[in-house]
Amino acid sequence: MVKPFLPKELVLRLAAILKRVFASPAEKRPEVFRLGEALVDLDGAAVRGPRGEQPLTAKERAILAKLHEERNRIVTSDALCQAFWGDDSFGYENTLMVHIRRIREKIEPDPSNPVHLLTVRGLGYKLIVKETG
Amino acid sequence: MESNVKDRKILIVDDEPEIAAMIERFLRKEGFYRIHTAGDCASALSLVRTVRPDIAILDVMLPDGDGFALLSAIRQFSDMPVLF
Repeated sequence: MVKPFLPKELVLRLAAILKRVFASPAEKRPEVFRLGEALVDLDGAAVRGPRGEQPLTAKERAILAKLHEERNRIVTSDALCQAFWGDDSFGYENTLMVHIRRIREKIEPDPSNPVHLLTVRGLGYKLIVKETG
Repeated sequence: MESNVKDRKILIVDDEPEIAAMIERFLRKEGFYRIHTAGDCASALSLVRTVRPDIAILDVMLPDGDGFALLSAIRQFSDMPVLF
């Protein structure tokens, strides 16, 4: 290893690589999850449900992945904008709203009255995921 | 950290025994226990062939070569992840 180095950092790097490469499928973050009757497949970038299979765009997939990572918690609009558009994300809130609306059209039974992807007024969004098993 | 991760075999390659021992100590403290050490390229290659480690921590400067040449040799028959 390149010296000098911090042993703790080295151990953390090693553990992170091992976890990424060797963690069992059950320990890896699920890339498929259910929202009511819709099955969201992040690996396949698609939503399968009563309306058939609907593809997700790269941005829609990324937003859903981020919201799923923080499922059942509020993710602020600022955090979402910054995650997808970086430090120059000012002014992207309307674009985010458009993406959210399109996602709802794919996952919600009634996109005008969402039950899975909720708006938390003045704060951001929350993806409600019922944990199974 | 998951148990199957901690069960993985780790190879430490460093020609300074104190450094190798210190890294080994840190790894054991974190729960890793299948740790092998080598002080030069030849013994590292031999261990890679016989022990089949899951990951290696390589030093750059070794008495009989450098870590990058060692990595090239390892890549002839192993695709394990390597840390420098």
